[in-house]
Parts: sequence; C-alpha cells; structure tokens
Amino acid sequence: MRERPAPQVGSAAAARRTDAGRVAVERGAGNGLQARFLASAVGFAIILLLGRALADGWDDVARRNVLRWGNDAEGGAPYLFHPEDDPTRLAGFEADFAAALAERLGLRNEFVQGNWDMLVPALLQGGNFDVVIAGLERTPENLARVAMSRPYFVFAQQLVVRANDTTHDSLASLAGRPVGVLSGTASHRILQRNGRVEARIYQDNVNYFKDLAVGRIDAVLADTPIVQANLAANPGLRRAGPPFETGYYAVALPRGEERLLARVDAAIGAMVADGSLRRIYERYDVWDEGQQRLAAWRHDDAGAGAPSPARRSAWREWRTILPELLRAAVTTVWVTFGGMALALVLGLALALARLYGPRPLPWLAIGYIEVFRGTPLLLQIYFIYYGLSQEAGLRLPAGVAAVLALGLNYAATEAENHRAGIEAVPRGQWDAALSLGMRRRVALRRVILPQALRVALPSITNDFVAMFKDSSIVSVIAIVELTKQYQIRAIETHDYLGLGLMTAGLYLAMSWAASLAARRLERSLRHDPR
Amino acid sequence: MIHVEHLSKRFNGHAVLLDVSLRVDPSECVVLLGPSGSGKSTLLRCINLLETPDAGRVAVGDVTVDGSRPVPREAQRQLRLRAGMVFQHFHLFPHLDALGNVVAGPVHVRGIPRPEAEAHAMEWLGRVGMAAMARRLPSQLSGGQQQRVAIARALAMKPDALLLDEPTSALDPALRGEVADVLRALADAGTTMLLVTHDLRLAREAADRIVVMQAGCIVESGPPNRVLDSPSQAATRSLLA
Repeated sequence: MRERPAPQVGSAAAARRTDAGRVAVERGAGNGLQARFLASAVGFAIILLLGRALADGWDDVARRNVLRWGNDAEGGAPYLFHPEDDPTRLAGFEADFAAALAERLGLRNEFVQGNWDMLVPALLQGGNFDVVIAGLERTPENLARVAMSRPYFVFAQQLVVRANDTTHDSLASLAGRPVGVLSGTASHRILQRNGRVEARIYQDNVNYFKDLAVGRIDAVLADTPIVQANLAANPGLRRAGPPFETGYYAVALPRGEERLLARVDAAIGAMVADGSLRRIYERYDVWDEGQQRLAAWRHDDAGAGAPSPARRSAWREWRTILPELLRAAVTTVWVTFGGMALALVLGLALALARLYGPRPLPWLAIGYIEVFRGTPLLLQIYFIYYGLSQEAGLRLPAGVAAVLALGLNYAATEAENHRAGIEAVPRGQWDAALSLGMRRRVALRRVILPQALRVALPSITNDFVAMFKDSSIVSVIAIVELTKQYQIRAIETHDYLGLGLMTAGLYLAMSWAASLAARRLERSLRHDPR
Repeated sequence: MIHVEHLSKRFNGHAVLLDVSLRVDPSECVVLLGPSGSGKSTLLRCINLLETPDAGRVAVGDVTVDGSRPVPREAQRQLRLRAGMVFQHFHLFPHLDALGNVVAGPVHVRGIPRPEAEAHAMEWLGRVGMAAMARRLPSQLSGGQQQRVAIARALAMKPDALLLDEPTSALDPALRGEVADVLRALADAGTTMLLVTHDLRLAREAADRIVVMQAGCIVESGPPNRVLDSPSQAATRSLLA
C-alpha cells in the first residue's frame, strides 16, 4: 500500500519545529524578541499544517457544504451542455447525475469548467474541484493515477460512417482511411492499438461528426452516448456495425480520499438500486440494457493500490517518443513555412495596395489589416475550417485551412513590416530610379523592395519564429503538430517535465535554425561592410 | 537641346520659379550660379519632372511637355530618358555594386542583354576612372568615387543632355578635384550639360555660358569671362565676393 501523504506532512512539520526551537534557544540571549516572534510564527505554521494534514477531502467538502465537480461544457450533449431554450442552465446526464449525487451526500453541487484533456492533471494538482465527473473511463491507466468510484454508466465503442457509405462496416475495412476520435479517450487508444487506420484527433465531441458529414474523414469512433446524441443531429450518418469494447464511466477523486470515496460509492449504489439513475438516463435517451451491469458491479479494485501513478520517463522511452515528436515537428515546419510564405506574399500585396493603390484599394488594405490583426487567430481558424464549409460549402482540407489561417492572419503583420521597410527607403532612391527612366513598377522591384526587405527582415524573422510557436493552435482542427503530440504523450505518460523539455528542445532547434538562416540572409543583403 | 519656356513653380504658395526661360544648345555646357534658395535645383528637377511645374513648357531633345497640364507617366519617362540626372548626394543604389548601378538602367529600362550592357558599362566606368572598382559596393567607395559612378550611371543611358545638381557640394574639398576633372572632360568632349554648382573655378573652366539666378528669376547670362570678371548685376557680384 502506498503511504498516505498526510502523516508525512505532519512529521515534516514536527521536525521543522524541533529545528526552529533549537534556533530560538541558541539565539535566545541576544535576540529574545526576535526569537519569540520566530517561535510563534513557526507554531502558527504547525497548527495550519497539522489542521490541513488531519482534515481530508470529505471534511473540506462537508465544511463547504458543496461538491465541486469538474467537467468540460464543450463536451456537449448528452453529457453536459447548455440547452437551446435556456443557455444559462446546465443540462446533460452528467449534470443531472452530479446534482443527484451531491443531493444524496447532503450537499449543493457546483460545476467547475476545465479543459477535458487536463481535468485529471488538474485534480492531481489539487485543483479547484473535488471530483471529476466527465465520462472518465474506469481503466487500469486511470486507476493508476486517481481513485475511481464504482461506475455510474456503461458505454461501448461505436463506429459511425456516412449513410451512403456502403463499403465500410468495421475498423478493419478502414485501413489507411482517416478516422476521427476524441483526444485521450478509449476510442483514441483503440485506434492507436489498431495502428492501421489514420487517426485524426479532435478536441471536442461535435466537430468530427461535421467533418465526417462533409467528407473530410471517413468514420468516427466514439463512445455510445456521444453517437446517440449526434446521430439525431446528423441524418446523413449511420452506425457501422455493433457496439464493442464495453467500458465504465466513474467518478474520479484524488487518491487517499477514502471517506469521500466510500460516500460516493454508497450514493451511486443507492441511485442504481432505486432506479433514480435510470430515470436520469432515460431523460437523455442514453439508457440501454447494458446499464444493467451497474447493479451487478462488484468492487474489484482493479489497479487501485497498484504500481504508483504510472509515470513513465520520456527519456527512457525516447526510441518511441522522439520519432513521434519529430514527425509532429515536420507538421509544424510545413504549416509554418506554408503560412509564412502566404503571409509574405499577401502582406506585400497589401502593403503595396496601401501605399500606392488607387483610391478604394488603400482603404480595403487597411480594413483587412485591422480585421485580421484585431481578431483572435483561433476564431479565424474556426471560421475558415468550419464556417466556410457550413455556410459556403467550401470544404478545405485541414492542412490547407491551417496554412490559410496562419497565412491570412500573419499577412496583416507582414504588410506592416513591408510598409515600414518601403517607407524607410530614402526618397532619393526613387528620384534616382525614375530619372533613369524606370517605370514605377520596375523601380519598386529593382531598387526599392530589395532595400526595403533588408530593413524589414529582422521583424519578419521575429514573426517567423513566433509562427513556429503560434502554429500549435492549428491542433484545434485535428492536425497533430508538435504541441498536440506533446499533449497526447504527456497525458499518457504523465512525464510533463521530460516530454516538455524534449518538445521545447525541438522548438528551440527549429527557431534557432530559422534565425540562423535569417541571419545569413541578412548578411547577404547587407550592403555596408561591417 | 534643352528648352525651357516660361516655367513657374510654387511650393505652398511660395514662388520658387517665376517665368524662367532657358536654352541649352547641343554640346553646350551651361553653368547655373545663384545663392541657396534661388531656385536652381528646382529648375533642374522640373526639367526632369521630378518636380511638376505649375506652368510653362519643357523640351529635351525631341520630347516636349506642357507643365500647365498633368503629364502622362509615359511622357514623363520619355523626357527623363533624354535628360540624365546627377544628384548632389549621388543616390547610388546601395544594394548594387558600381557595375550593377551602371547597368541597371540599360538592362531594366532599355532591355539590353546583361553581358552587352556590362561591357558598355565598363567603358563608361573607364571614362570616369572607376573601371578598377566595378565590383565595389557604394559603401566601399569614397564620396568622389561614388559621384563618378553616378555620372557613369547617367551617361550609360545615353541621354541627350546631362543635368547635374551640385555634384561636388557634398564632397570633401580634397575629393572635389577628381569629380571636377571628369566634368571638365565631359564638357570638352561636347556633352550637353546643365550644371548647378557653387564652385566658381569649375564654372569658369567648364562653362560655355553662365546663367545667374536669384529669387526664382534669371538675372544675368553670358560667357564665363564676362559674367565672372565684369558682372553687371549686384546679385552676381555678391556671389563672387
């Protein structure tokens, strides 16, 4: 059994008290006042520490009279969502379950919003909620990190394809085809294990169905309740094959909270027995015969007390992890290069339109720059990827949308860099070029722009390096670039530090190479020997 | 060769050129003298249309433009092709070496193949004594060397006339001589020139005729000996003092 942390905190405090006492005695003669102050401060700290050590999670919860539960409202129906008729209210079978659970415990309940990916890490960090009720699976992997209650829901995996797709009815038939899954779920693990289909990793429960409907991916693998809720909204989709791989959702708590865990288990047991849980599930149309297993549940404690939180070292597994990170880094590189190329070309066009264009053009260029500089990149990505396909029927592949979004956004900044460069070229250069009989276009191309580029280059390099980092944002449209790959692996291995350093190293290598190349270019453009 | 008639130019309501008329005949070197602000540089820039005159006509070679009406870009360009310009501050293209500066016009304006243009450019650089430094960047050249390259750059376009705007004023006194030598040689060789300068020795040696300006008007004109040795106008006398 793992030792509970509480006594350790107590004994550490006791040890500290002894030290402090000795210090106080030694100094007593000269600095009586100071020593007394020190002693009382230490004493106060001990009381605080002891109080904290003796009270466990249940005491905290009972004192506050509220059960704070973490989930991600972006998860959507049927788990947790804001109903259309009253967007201020929370609905969903997990919302109702959490409320009923808290009520059984004699508590109020309070929903705390978190990023689904990060709920368990946040819980372990002593985050701002007591439990996680968010479709967390009762798997050995999860049990190795957190304590889990008895299950409150039985789910299975369901494959979904387009209704008019008659060729695909199983994962086996989808070898080499793109299949959408939610990041860090049982479905995600199944695809990883399968290895033959191309996994497209999403951050939420809704968008992969949209991408499936418009043909960007060929199938979705998801938990049965997700499928249940989304098929109603997507008549163009159908279930492919029977559900498989049954699993359980359970409430997650920090390890060692035995009293809270026992009470939660008892409350769920009672809700299963008296049918109140079934009534909640029927309300959301997620009740099925499979849920009968909830009643037959025997606490097997699978994984509990097992090998302490399976934190795996990224360094030791570098043979598998580094190639994955490198592959993801390649994605980062081409998204960035593509985005920057577009930004530079479009930015130049904007700068020229603004400086030399006939009447409405300068205003349009300024409008473009203000709009793209003044709105979040994330919003622009969603707009280009989902908005355009929905409203204009323009179905861009994720990679194209990513390059387009980064390019269009950065074009606004590059336009200003180009403009600053062009305006920095002395007026006399125009005079000299025009007096040779050059057309304005020729003068611009042969005389002005080469000099402007030299002025603008440091800022452009800066933006280029910034885009390497900003490109991580395209993971929201199911592109696995470096940061996303880090996240996936970190959630799996819990080695946030080792993986983080590895990933940071790769970013550093890329931006360093970029600055190096830029410095060479700068030197070759320089026309004053230094 | 250069024919300016009734040229006027105002900047913000302030008259800089008042009804100026001037002729430069083929192979003639006319030197424009006058105190600062008398309108010499503006006159030169108006002939080249780097400034747009308010009224009057400008003709260089076979191209004539009417300054009282907007001049189409192509007509401006044709005029500039006939009037080469040398600036006080050289305005060499800093990203191109001396040779690159001289071939820029022939290659990008006249469309002459680069090898041929470079061969010609080397001749021009030779004429101003800069052939040995053809591969140097402007930043690697002294002011006098830069100005000689700038002269070669203007000549390489084979203009009908050369406009020179105080070509030695920005130079250290020690470097003026090498540029003045080039200018004298050009004048002797029969290049049509309109030269603005404060250098009276250069004026005397290079000019076929000297024109004195004051406050936007031409006040005196004549052969160098007469204008410089027995000036008829107070303005000229104060210049010589």
